[in-house]
Amino acid sequence: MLRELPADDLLVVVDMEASPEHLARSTAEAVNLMLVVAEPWFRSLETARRSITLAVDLGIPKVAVVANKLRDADDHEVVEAFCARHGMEVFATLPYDDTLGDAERARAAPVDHDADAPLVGAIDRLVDRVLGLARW
Amino acid sequence: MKVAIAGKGGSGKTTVAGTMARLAAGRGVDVLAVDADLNPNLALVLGMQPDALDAVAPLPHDLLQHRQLDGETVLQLSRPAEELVLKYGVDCPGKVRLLVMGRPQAGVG
Repeated sequence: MLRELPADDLLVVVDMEASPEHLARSTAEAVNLMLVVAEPWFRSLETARRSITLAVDLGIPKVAVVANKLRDADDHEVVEAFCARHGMEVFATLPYDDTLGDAERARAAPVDHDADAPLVGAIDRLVDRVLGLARW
Repeated sequence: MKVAIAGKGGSGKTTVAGTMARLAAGRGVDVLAVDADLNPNLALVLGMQPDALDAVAPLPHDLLQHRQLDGETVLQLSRPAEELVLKYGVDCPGKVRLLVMGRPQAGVG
């Protein structure tokens, strides 16, 4: 499915199953970039590490971590240290954001609830990087 | 450019995917969001109103065919992908188009 879609002037964003275990090689080959979202603690990072190993084996050209829900410098350090030790690229770091719960309660998209929320700003910078990789 | 967002349940995967899609579309980029999660709720993060969610139908199963390819089962489309995006894609706020893949039939990983 993904392979068939034209991607020259289109950004396709796929919200995947939790892990790439069930990803067929043919699907993986259609993806340019896989971002694995992880939280700043060992078990989450370890899960991300396994997903990344699988994704690389499946032939996805670029696979990297998006560290989410970071609260302080310690969290950043945990992520940086783990990823450096295992040769994982940190593509973006996203802050823990209280306003996300408010958006959820209001049943609103985070961008509609508060376009200036810290998380939205950080994801906007992530979009910068993704679009910077794309060859339009 | 095709970007897959993976991560454990609760990691914020869907929030990242949906917000990325909205922000990129806000810059004038054509964006197709694909919900391939077994528990699809990308539509809400994209800003679709809860009462409009019923309009978001997953891709019918009979359009997906299971084929053996190099010893692994792959899902193949019986119709061209672009046609399916036109027919089954749903317009979300902020000019994002959404396609929900739906749950594969039992027994198929």
